[in-house]
Amino acid sequence: MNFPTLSRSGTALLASAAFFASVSSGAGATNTFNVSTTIEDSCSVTNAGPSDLVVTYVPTTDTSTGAATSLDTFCNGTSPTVSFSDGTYGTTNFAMTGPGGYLYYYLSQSTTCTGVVADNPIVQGFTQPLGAGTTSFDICAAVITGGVNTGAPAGAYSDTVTYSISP
Amino acid sequence: MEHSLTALVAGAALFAAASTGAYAVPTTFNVSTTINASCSVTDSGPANLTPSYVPSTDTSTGAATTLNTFCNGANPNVTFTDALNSSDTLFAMTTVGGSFLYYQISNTATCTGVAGDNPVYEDTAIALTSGVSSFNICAAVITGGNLNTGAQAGTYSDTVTYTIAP
Repeated sequence: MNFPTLSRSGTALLASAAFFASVSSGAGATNTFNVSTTIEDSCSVTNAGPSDLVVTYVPTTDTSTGAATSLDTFCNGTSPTVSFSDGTYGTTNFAMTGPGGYLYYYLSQSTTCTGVVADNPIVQGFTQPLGAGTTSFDICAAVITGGVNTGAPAGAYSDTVTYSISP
Repeated sequence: MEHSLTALVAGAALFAAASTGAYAVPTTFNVSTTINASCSVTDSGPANLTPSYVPSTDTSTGAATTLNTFCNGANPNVTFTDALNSSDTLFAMTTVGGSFLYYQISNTATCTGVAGDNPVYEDTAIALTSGVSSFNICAAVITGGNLNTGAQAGTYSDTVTYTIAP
């Protein structure tokens, strides 16, 4: 009597059946898998960003009227910061450029924007603390008085300030 | 099942968008101003002038002062006028009685009087130098032509208004 031999597919079928029997023997056991994430510190600007500022300056009387705006942010970290720079100097002097060269001005964190006398100027490139969560950082620009700009010729002056938020 | 898959895909997209906020992205704002042309007088202004005149010899000794200014515009100018408001170079001092003593103003430091100086016209713009400037002003009683030779003794005076345009 000849017994039929198993083909290759028949072997695989037997192996699958054995595996199924093994899993079935674990019925009722609890198995787990994990879900996890790491939320990194981040910030978002919650308004359209600071407005462009248009200040005034009269060289012949050496007087300036500042202009103010705000940087509104939400940061989920504990110590977010912001820094400002226009790439000219590492001091508190920012500089607009115009027909006569530079017109120096200060940035300060102020709402009253009373200019150089009463406001504490921001040093270029230095981090300023932003509040955690929802916060509004006031920004004032005022042309520096006291003699540094008194020779400024008439004309249009402008500058671009880059602000960098670190979450 | 289909709803769950849709929600999963949407959630993944949202997570990807939120993740971009984890990096500080430098952004900018502009600071600008327009400085208008203006002038300032950098001292107490021109001094009062006291020229002399002798009718009998028709001679005058002028007196000089300066108008010191700073102007940040390209083409500043100055005009001079008095109550006579003539359309030419005549300015006039008057007495209490109303008599005239005619004089001229010129832009000179030497102030040599009518013969040597080039008089300015009333209410006519004269160029000031841009930036720091010192504009010489000379006043001298006019001689020649018997214009003042009949002047009575007394005190004559005039007020000159100067107007600076930046």
